[in-house]
Amino acid sequence: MKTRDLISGDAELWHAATHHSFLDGVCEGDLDPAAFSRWLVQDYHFALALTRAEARYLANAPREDFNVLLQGMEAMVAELAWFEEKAKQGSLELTAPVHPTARAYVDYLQATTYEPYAVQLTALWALERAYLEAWRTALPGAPAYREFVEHWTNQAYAAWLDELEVAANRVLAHGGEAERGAFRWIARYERDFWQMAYAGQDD
Amino acid sequence: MSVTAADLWRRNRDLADACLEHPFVQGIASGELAIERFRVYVAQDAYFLEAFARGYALALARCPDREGLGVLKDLLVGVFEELQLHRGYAERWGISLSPEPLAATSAYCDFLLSTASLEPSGHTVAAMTPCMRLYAFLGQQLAPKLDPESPYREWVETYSSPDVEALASRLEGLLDRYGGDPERLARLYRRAMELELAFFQAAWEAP
Repeated sequence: MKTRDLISGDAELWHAATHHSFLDGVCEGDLDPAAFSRWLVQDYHFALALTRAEARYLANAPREDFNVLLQGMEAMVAELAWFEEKAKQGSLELTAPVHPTARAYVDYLQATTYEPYAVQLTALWALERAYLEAWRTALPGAPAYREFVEHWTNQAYAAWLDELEVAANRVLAHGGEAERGAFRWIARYERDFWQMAYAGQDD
Repeated sequence: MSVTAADLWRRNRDLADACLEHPFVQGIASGELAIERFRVYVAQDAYFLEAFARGYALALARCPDREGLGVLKDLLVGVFEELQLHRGYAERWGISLSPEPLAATSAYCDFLLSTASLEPSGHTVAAMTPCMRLYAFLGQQLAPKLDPESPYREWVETYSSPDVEALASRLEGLLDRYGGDPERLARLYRRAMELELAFFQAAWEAP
């Protein structure tokens, strides 16, 4: 099994995870800024949880994957600082409560930390690949959102993800239902995460 | 009663001095240490650092605050830089960095990983601080008497550098902030210091 087999095996679900009217709105510029801010805050909560989950994956990883996972963690900590800087500049309320949809995703990440390494790496690859592909659909981004779209589709990120994909393909060579299951859960949560932006804070 | 990193270091000065006076450590500064012994040490230390990196990662995964994420990430990067130094030695002296661990190495790795897996971050940090603080101490103590011709000069220069001191201080800062059960912290700190001394002794005896 390869990463591309996971995507082609659940093409519809993958499409839903990587295409959304939210992203179209970012591209066209007609997305409600309040919805964007709500999404951004939830993405920060997710980023905090992902940083910790990646640390658990690193602790579990074979030495050959240390480098790519360390780079991922370094990027996540830099990403957190970037969010916090954005919050200082604008009206972003990073302390807003975690939305139930984000909560479910974060809890799933936590659950993967008890899984074997191959499942963890599959989950990490899937969520990063979904994120990049989704943001690429919003390129170049309406002026108000361009900086964000460029940030989440930058070349260094794409290059790192290619490296992660090599590692994922290595573990998927012996992959089975557990890895496929993780891929599907990630795709579902990614899809729901976009939709969450339209929901109010208290739903 | 809470206990600070400074208290713990003071209480373990006997072991720190024993490490400093150990013929292995003195031989690094004088350059008189037999290369066979240093080769064993480098290989075992590379093995150990892998467990050390995993320990930091586990501490990061469960650290209670945002600041810890940044500090522990930097410490983790520091371990990888240290491994880079080992790769340099390995190339120069033809050392395999995937050795069978000696008993002292296994004991230290197992101690770190069980602590990092089962105990709160403060306790994990207490188990990991001695290594950082001890190496900063050894580097700084050895630097003035370093023989410039010593083939191990780089080792002393690395650990006496301000970067290592800064990392050790940041780790001690986390220890002070997170704390934990004082008796447990003291036990873990002492145990790690004992394992440090045993590590030098094992490299000394091995060849």
